[in-house]
Amino acid sequence: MEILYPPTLFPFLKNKHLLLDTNVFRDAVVKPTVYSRLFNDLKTADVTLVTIDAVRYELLKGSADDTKYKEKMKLIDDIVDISLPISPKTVELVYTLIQDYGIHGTVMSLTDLFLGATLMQYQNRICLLTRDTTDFIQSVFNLLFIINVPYSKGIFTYGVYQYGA
Amino acid sequence: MTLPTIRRKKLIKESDFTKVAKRVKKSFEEEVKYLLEKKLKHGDTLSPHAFSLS
Repeated sequence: MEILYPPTLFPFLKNKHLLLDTNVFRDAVVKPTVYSRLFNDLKTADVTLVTIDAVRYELLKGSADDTKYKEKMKLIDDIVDISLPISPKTVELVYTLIQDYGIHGTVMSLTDLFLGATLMQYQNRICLLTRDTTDFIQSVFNLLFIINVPYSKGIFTYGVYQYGA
Repeated sequence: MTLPTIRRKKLIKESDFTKVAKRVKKSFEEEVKYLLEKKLKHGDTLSPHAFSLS
């Protein structure tokens, strides 16, 4: 089966940046044909695929040798168009996000905090694609779309989130 | 602050991507195995990513 998403998704994302969470890359290796087509469809529809270094770190750590490290790096570089730099503003917004989250922030990973702060920084010009649908709470981030990807043992469900929509 | 943009996006070559993805999948599986063994030995917590690789 193919990826299921609302028909308004691509027009909405046109000329925006789509920030990819760690789980997107991990899932892409499970169904590479399906995901490579999705990524290409997004790129062709003028969506810029981006990630941040914290996501790269999560994917690269644990690589048993140099070859495996480089293979992962190639996979990431094949998918993303740009890696977004963490600026002093991003770091400052992490503190704001921690305050906004309150007790719910207890479970946030550092990567999630930086992803969230990046959404806050660039507002309506960027969206996040993640399967981590419990940590990006809807009192802070807007869940705009849901994407379902059937695979052999179930369904990968992703949220497309934005800050301040 | 402006978002960096790219004028011409590179499209993914499906066959090459599939080859690399298969190798990376094996790496991830190795890492999950390592985590499982470590958990059995020391009772460490398991990565939440472990269940998405099957």
